[in-house]
Amino acid sequence: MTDNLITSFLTNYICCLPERTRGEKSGKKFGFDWVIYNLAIAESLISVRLPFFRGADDQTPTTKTEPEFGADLIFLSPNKKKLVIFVLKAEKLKNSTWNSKNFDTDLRNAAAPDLSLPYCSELEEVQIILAYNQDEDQAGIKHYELLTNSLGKKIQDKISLSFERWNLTTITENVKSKLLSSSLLPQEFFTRFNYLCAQFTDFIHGSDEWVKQFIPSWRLFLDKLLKENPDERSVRLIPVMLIILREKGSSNPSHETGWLDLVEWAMLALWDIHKTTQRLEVKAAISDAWCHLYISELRQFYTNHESEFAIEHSLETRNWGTSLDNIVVSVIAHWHIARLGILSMSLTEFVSEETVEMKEDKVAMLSQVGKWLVTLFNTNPSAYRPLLDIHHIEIFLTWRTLWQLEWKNNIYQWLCELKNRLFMRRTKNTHIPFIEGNNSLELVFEHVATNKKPYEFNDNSSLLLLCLLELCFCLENEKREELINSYYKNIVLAQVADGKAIPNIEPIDLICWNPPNDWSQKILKKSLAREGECHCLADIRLRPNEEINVVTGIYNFVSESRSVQKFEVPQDLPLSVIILACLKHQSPLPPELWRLPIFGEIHNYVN
Amino acid sequence: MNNAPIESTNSQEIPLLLSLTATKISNIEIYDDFVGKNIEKELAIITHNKEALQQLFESLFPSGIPLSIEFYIIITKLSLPDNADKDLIKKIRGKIWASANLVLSKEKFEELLNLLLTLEWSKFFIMYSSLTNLLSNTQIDPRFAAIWLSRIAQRSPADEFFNAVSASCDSFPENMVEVLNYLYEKENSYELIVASFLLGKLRTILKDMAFSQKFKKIEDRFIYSKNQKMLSIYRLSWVTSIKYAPELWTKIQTLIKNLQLNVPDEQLDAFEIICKSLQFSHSEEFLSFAQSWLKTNTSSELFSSTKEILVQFVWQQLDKNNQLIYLDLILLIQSFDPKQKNLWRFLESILVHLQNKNIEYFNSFFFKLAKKDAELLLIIMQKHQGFEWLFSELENKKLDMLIGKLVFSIDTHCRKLGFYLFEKFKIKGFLEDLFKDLEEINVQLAFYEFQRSYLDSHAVTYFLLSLLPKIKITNTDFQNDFISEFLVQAKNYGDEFIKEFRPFILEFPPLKEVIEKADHYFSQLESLKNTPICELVVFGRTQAEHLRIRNFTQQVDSFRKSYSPFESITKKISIPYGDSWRIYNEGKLGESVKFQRISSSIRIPRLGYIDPEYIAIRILNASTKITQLLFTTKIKE
Repeated sequence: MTDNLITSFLTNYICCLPERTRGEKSGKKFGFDWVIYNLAIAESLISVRLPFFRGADDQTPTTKTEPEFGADLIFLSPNKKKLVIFVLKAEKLKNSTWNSKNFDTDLRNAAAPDLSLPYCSELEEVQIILAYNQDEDQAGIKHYELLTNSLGKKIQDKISLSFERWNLTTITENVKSKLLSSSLLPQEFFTRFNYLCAQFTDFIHGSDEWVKQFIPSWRLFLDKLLKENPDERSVRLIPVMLIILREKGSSNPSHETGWLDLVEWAMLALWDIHKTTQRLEVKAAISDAWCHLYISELRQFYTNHESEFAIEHSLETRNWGTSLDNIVVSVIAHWHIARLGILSMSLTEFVSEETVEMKEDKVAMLSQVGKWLVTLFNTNPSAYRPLLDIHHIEIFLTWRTLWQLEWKNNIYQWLCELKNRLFMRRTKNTHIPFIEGNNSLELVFEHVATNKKPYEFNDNSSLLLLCLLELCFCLENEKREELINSYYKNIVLAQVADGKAIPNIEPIDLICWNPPNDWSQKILKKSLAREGECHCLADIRLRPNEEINVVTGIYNFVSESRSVQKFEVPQDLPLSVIILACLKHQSPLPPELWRLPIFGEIHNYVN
Repeated sequence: MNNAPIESTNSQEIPLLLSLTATKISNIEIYDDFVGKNIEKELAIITHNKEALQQLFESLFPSGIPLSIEFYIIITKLSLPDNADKDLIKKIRGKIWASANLVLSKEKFEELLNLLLTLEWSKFFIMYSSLTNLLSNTQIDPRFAAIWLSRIAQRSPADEFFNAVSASCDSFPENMVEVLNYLYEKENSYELIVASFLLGKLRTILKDMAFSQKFKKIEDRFIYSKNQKMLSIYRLSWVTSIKYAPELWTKIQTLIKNLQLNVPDEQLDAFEIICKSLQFSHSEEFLSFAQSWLKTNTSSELFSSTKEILVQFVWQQLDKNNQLIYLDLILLIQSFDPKQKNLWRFLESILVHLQNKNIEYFNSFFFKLAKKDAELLLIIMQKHQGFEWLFSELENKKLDMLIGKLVFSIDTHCRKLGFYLFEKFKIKGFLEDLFKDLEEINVQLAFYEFQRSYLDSHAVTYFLLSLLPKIKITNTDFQNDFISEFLVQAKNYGDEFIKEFRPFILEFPPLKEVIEKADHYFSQLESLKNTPICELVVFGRTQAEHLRIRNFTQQVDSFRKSYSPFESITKKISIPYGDSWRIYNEGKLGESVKFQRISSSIRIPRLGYIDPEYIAIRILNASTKITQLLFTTKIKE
């Protein structure tokens, strides 16, 4: 992550904080007084006066109601010779606010501290810091300089007096250099976030602990944060937390992909807020996080590791040397396929193409992602190894990435190679089982570990295969016919070249899934695999004993299936976010996502 | 002269002999030298003199003849000086054994005879060797004899046994006809063996009319029995008959002619009669008849049990007579049932015998066998762990020509068998002579067969090395396939593989580029040591790994149990604590033994394990190439 990006997210967060931390009817407000307090603590200063009562670990500090006389926070240096007084303003420093927002009054008051207090006995220096989490104009600065010059350099002729001005940039820089830790967060999140940081440092991405402990804790944490405070501050806080997590977990060898996993869960939580909030600044903050944190970092990740992906069998370097490696590496390959697909879709949706130059840049970016994807397939055979039916999402994303670049030849080659490799698994020529229809990786592992098909293992029905057959419709007539026929005969019916069925291998029933009507309302939250309706294509023949025309048969089925339930792609959510949600929740994709671009509007498709 | 009585049966050896008892026996001359006819004479006198016999038994068994195995223990301890005739001691033991019949009641004697079957093997065989002397001197009750003889046959149906029964027939033919009578319609196979022998032997005894009629009566019972087994016993009895009366062989000729060879039992009987008769009949006429009959009637269509008889016969002819002329019978009856363990054991014995005598002859015969049915040979070798003995005998034998001929054969199964043996015997290459007769198609077929075989790194390396000289003169397409295969194997086995080919770069320049590619591949992988792109792990993998290990352990365990006969008889103790162990036995703790970790490693082809689908596709493509080659090219072998 670039330095500028970190600064940007920190600035955005600090900028939206009010002066004081306080509880309101609408929720808790995190103030930047807490940030300043922690910055001072980070400098080893001793607090003398705070604007709030500190609470226990997970409690929000309580605002003091007493007048502060300009000095919001007062600290003493460890040798007790310097007094640091913070004057806080969550306002812009300019002519109009100088008096109206009490910059002048508060600075004057702060410059006349009560030196009779016991802690001032050894004092030699007083420093007044005006800290405001906004920008300023020249007039505001002039007012500040005139006042500070007029207030002199000594108090009572013996204690030196100095002034400093911390604007948004200064505060951000200080935070970046000294406070990129859990302390930056509101106090109530400190302990839990600290624990999450420790887990992120210790747990390997994808491990049992990661999946069973860390991710549920992280999702619960996000849920609590956003549920209680669905405002801009909370939304802006999330990228900051992710930046802190990234800093803390850098010693974890899997932190790069692990961090992206955390970002993804956070993004889903944010887009769920996006769906319900009416506040434009919140929507903007979410889009900003998606584009500049997730998508940008995803792109950065693949840019950084482009050369590594280009090495043959690059994903095989952490193998344990057992048959289970084939499964593990395949899962990793599909993880990358999915991310590249999401990246490609997101670039299509979010990168502007207002000018010719912008359009060219966008095409260049999409081509680059397309090349990364093709490279991944060329160098890593595991990319051609879908294990679960839900891997139709990755199949769709691959197709979509290549299709939007109009790389039809690549689509054809990819589908051919995939068919050849699936055929080897279908005919049991390798120890890798065929695609598991119930989407249980545990069953796949068990199958390979014991070399025996578990009772629950389902290789009798497949949405993925129907998806592949439908994707073939995007090709020219000849290739389409050839591929659909060979997929259907070799893979679906398990027939060899001469049309003979392979003994002891049953044909697969093709199925398609129509999502429930409220699909778009739920998809960000959970898997919808157990909702909606399944359409089964048990026999492709229209009438018994009829010669099979596979292409027509599938086309007719698609038409019928589409006419039964009209599905509309939700307009309030980007497609890339929807696909990410399906990926994270292992929820099947609505077939309309590929049918619409391939078959066009319902009933309008001409073969 | 030693007058000391035998004091105890516990002494190691009881010095013979009757001289021990001589002082108590009147009118017996005493000899200082125990060896020679005098002993026999002495024995004859004693056993014909009741009083002397009594004294003999009193000397041997002061407390009376024990009706326990002690009787046999004492008898088996009787010995003669080393320079004595070996048969003499057998006779002495047999005489004394038989003489017990004279001093014991019938029931007690039979009880004593039954105890023979309870003896441990070494003692049993000592007494077994004296069986002829017993049976030729003692008439045993037929009812008892029928059972007792069958039980002895069950324990050891060796020649000595049949010689003893034969002697009994000669001494007491009427009695043995009675025994045969009792064995009629019995079910036990050993009873049937004895019956068949008796029927055959008694047929050859020329005696009075009464005996002939008595025998004919029982023989007819077998001939006209509705029980197929009895009929079979009758037929097989002729084998015994011509053993003792070779002139009867024409009867066999007639008998065989009347058998229907498409009926399993009759076919088996016919072949058994011929094969068994050939073992001892040396009549030229019979030999000519039998050999010609075998040649005419032997084919692969024979029933499995008949084939087993034939292979056993070939083995016996080879083992006893070093007869090679019957080897072709095996080629005629191929193929065999893989489940016929005995047949395969005999075949293995034949092959071991051949390779011991003449490796060239072995190579030639094995190649013929393979050409007939290499697939089955491979099944036996791979799935049934057959030929382990043969393989151990073949170590360091010159097999490269045989294996080369198999590897470059047009026949798919021969090639497969060839590669199996190529790997098994760690062949390092072929002689130039082999390639002289080979055409390009043979090389190509072998290459594609190699592609679809799972071979270890040694076999892969040396097979490809052996092809190098031929590749240079093959067509470009094939050269490209070879180069591509070379790269696959270089990636599979890395530097261990590549280093063998480096010296040939100048000889075959395309290798240089491929070796560079492989080197680049490995150096690039090396650079991925710290890449985060595959640092993520997969949920459930650890649990699956435990499951895999448990499953693997179970498989190894069950394989070990089925493979090792010691598994069922040795005790297994699980020791969950400590790092060493000792065992408490006979009141003492044994030596402390440290646990030892046993591990073994195997080189797995890298691509086979990284990309199993590609390897499967490669095998499919190789098969397609083979089919095309065989289809499009006219094959001359």
